[in-house]
Amino acid sequence: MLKALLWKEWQEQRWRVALATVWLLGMTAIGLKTRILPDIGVVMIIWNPATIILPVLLGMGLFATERKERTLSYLIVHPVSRSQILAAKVMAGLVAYVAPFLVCGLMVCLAVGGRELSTADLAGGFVIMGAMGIVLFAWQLLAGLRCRRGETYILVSVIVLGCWGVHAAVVEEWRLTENVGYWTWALNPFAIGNLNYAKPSEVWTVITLQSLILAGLGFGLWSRFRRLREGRS
Amino acid sequence: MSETAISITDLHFAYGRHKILDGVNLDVPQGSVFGFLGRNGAGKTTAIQLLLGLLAPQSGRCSVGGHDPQTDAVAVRRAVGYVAEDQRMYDWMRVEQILKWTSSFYPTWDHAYAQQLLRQFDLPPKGKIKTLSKGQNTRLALLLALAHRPRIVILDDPTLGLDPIARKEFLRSVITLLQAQGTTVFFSSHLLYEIEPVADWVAILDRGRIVKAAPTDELRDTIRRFVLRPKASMDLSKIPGVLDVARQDGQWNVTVETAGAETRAALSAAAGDDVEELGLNLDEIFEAYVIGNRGREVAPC
Amino acid sequence: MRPWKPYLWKEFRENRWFALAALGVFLGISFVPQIVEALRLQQKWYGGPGPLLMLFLGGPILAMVTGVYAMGREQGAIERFWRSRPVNLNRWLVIKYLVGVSLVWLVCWTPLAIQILGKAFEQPYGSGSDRGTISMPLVYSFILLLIYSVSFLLGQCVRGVLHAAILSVGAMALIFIIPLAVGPLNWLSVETLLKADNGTLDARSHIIFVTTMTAFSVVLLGLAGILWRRNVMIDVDQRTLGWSVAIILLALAAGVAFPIGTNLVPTQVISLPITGDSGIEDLAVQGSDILALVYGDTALKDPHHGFVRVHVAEETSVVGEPIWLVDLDRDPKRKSSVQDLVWSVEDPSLAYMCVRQYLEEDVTLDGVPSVPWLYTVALDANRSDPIIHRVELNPGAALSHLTEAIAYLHRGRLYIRLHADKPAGERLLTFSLADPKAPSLIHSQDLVDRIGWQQENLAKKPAIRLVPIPDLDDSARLEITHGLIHYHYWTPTEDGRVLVSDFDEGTYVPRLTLYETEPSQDDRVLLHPIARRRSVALEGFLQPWLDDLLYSAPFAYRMEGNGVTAYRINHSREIERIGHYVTTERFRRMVPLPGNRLVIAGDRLHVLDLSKKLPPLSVR
Repeated sequence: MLKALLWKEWQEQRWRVALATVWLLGMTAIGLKTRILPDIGVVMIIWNPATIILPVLLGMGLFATERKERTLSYLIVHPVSRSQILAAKVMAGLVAYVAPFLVCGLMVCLAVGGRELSTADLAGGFVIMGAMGIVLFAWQLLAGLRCRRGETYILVSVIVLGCWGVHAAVVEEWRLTENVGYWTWALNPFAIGNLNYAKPSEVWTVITLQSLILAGLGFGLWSRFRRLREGRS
Repeated sequence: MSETAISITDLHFAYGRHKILDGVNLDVPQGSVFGFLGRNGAGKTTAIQLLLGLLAPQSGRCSVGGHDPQTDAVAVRRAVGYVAEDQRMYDWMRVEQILKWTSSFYPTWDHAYAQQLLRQFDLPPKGKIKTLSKGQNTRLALLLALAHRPRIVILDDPTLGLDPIARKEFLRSVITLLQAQGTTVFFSSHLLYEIEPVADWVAILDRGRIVKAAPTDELRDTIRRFVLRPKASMDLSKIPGVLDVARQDGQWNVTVETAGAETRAALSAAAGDDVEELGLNLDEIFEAYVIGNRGREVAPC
Repeated sequence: MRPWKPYLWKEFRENRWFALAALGVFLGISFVPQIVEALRLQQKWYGGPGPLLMLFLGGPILAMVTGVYAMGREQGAIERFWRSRPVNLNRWLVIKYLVGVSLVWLVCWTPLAIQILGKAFEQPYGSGSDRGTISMPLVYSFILLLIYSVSFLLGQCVRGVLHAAILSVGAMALIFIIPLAVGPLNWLSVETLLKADNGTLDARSHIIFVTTMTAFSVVLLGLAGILWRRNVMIDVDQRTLGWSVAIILLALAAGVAFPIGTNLVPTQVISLPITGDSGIEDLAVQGSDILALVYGDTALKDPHHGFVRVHVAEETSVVGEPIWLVDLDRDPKRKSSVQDLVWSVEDPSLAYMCVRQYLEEDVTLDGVPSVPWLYTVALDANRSDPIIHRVELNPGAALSHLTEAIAYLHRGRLYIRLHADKPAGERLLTFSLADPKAPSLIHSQDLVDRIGWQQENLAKKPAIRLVPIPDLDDSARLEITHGLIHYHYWTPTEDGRVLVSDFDEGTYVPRLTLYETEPSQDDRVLLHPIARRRSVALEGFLQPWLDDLLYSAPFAYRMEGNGVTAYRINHSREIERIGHYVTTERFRRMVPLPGNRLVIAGDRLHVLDLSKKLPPLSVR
């Protein structure tokens, strides 16, 4: 049953995965080939926005589009638990999100690893960006679960991002990391992309907090999805 | 095995402050074709969703095929074939794809039977769902509901949007097929004339309650209309079991729930011997229950 | 009711809350931070760069959203309602369009108007002129008009507001990016904006720009009208939209990146034997040999200056061991700043360094008194102290706050220019190298005027003030003057010409200009432009500052931060862009090698070979 659900989700998402992979790989290739910026600049300019935009586009297809098309009501009428439906959607969403990172990360490391940045640094950069994106993805899925239209989902996702941006500004402006503690910054998903490896305690704080947050988001998503009223056609 | 396929006991459900179901009690006999009637917005679809475990009631109990939808929703859906009102399926799937995909969820799926129904319903296996007509879409939904040989089939206004001929053909072929198999068919609609020929039982849902549930024949036998000519000082509100009183062309049409001895005596007392008795169709019976004035608005002559 | 009133009433009713909300957002973001500051610092609450920034950043988004929703909200069942009524579609379309434009301009200009009326208008980057006060926002408003018109058209003919909005964002990107990348179209956006900012956009240019943008917008409106009357609707599903946008953006990116991207690949990248926080400070060259002045850690883990010799052959190189100048950095309180390096031609085992020494405790915001020295260094690794001779260049400290001490070697003489800021002054010292190991001062001269580039204003011809050395011809003096300038944005080429890297009048777009020189008068040579190559605006944004300019026939090299752009000056005096090279390393110096090669000093030495880029009939 899970296999059937995964098959369905993959059929629906695969064009998005292909599109994201082609587009990101193409832009990265152009940037790395022409080198109008250093390699690190190319990767940051293309992949930092992708970390934020990809989850929005994928998440839209997981829930909002199904609700708008009214196929979610068709899906939950089947003799399959909501947990399985949610698990299939989340797994498919993760695969769809990670696939472009994997493909493009591999290509970039093979093509330009060791040119300006070491292969390990490049690979590590993609892993970090991917991890940050997964947490943002979870936030957006939870916030946008009840959206019935793609436009609404995008708006909600932007608001989520905006809130974390405001949080980052507040932490910076009021120096909360110094006055209160580093954990105030570690709560922010963007902290994953700004790790200070010279301070292992801060790195572990971020990893621990974000893992707990991710687990909480997963529980929240499951809890909300279970109670989702989608029976009305 | 219980003789009741579906059982609803004192079911209450509300969306916020808006009450939809206000103490619904219903028993659907096994193997019957049960017509679930109600006006638009009466709560029929809500009741069906409660039966499938898609919604949780505020209070009350349901049982479908011996399973409680609130605790065992998956088992209920596995035992039930369901066709929703205006069912939307995945446009991008082909007919054969959706058959194969849906079969994964049902251990009792009968592939040979599914192919037989595919031919019978004249559906293109390689056609994409978005290219199917309204009628084909409905037949496909029905195929998906029947192919796993359910004991109970729930149809929520499945003929919505079909033309009259298509509706008649659907009902005749499907209901006849299922009746022959001894499957319980729970069928909701607001088009009474199409339920009447096929339904063994009928329940009328109005203002959140079941106002009447009985075999169709029994309804037709017990609910009668009496046509009276006006007489001085005629008080029709005192007639027991009156459902509706209407004045038409100088005559009074009095519809009563049970034309027993007491009722007949009351009618004779009010109008003398000048009383004509008529039988009603389901449409008229439904109208009497749902919008009947119960004689309250009638002034004594 | 007049025929136009019902349409106007409907549009007003539909837009009023959105307009109020947008106005609130624009005013809020423009002034709330300033109000907070004003309460604290007792200043005007309506000052600050907020309104202009909102115009630039929020304006396009507002224009796009307003345009898409103007027509997008009429789709579906409501459109069928209107089409079945006796409605004048053209009139309705025009009124709807004008209401939207008015909304966008009103919202964008209200915060600016408050500032202008309160005389508190402020350019965010402090570079504008008084005329730029109104000129730049006015020009930008017509770019917003174009964005609105495109969005209006897309909102009308694309089914689905979201799809239309996505396509509008793509169109907006095209409107901003294409004029940046395509030279002849620069005037459609950024160039005109920058000229307006600097007050160099005349009335005629204003009229041309405004007329062109308005004409485009009218054409788009007309097209929208035609499509609406014919009920033409484009159905775009998510997949088609996604692939279309992706392909357009990829094509756009390739079209922009490849012409200005790097195509130069280094033949060698040479690491020097230095560790830790070290780097290459300067280079000197003789033939294929490089002398690199490095600053790095020794085994003693103290920072020191030193030299490394590198022989750069065609495909390989030989790197020598570092020669550390222990004495230079011995005293931790006395800091040494190496100003210039010169490698002796007569005796390649010797090098000359101009060094400023100062005490760290004397450093102030106004500068630091320093003592300039000329050191003669023996490039012999076996010496314990390679510095074999020292001469103080400013005895008596006449120029107290020295900022530059630049040296240049020419035919057995070493010329050194000293420059001070406070008080301002320049001095030219001439040393004889009759004894290369012990340079002797033979002439010292205070320079009345600063040597180098002179241009009072853009209207006047540029000129170069030459070093006052009477026994040398203009060509030699030009060469020496160039050698005594620290910051090279001009360089002599050949046949008495000068290549200059400057910026387009009124904009920040870099350009290269080749000048002819006239015979000098009063130590000044006037310059006449004979060829010019203007960069694409996008290049200017990506390579905004110039670090060095070098000419080695027939190529010129322009160093910008972490990139070098190579040009070829053809016999026809055409300046042709050959390619670009960029890395993460910060480039500091570059020197030419024989065989059309170039060595660039970053953290490592990068060797470029342009011999394959020579013109077809040229033999070098």
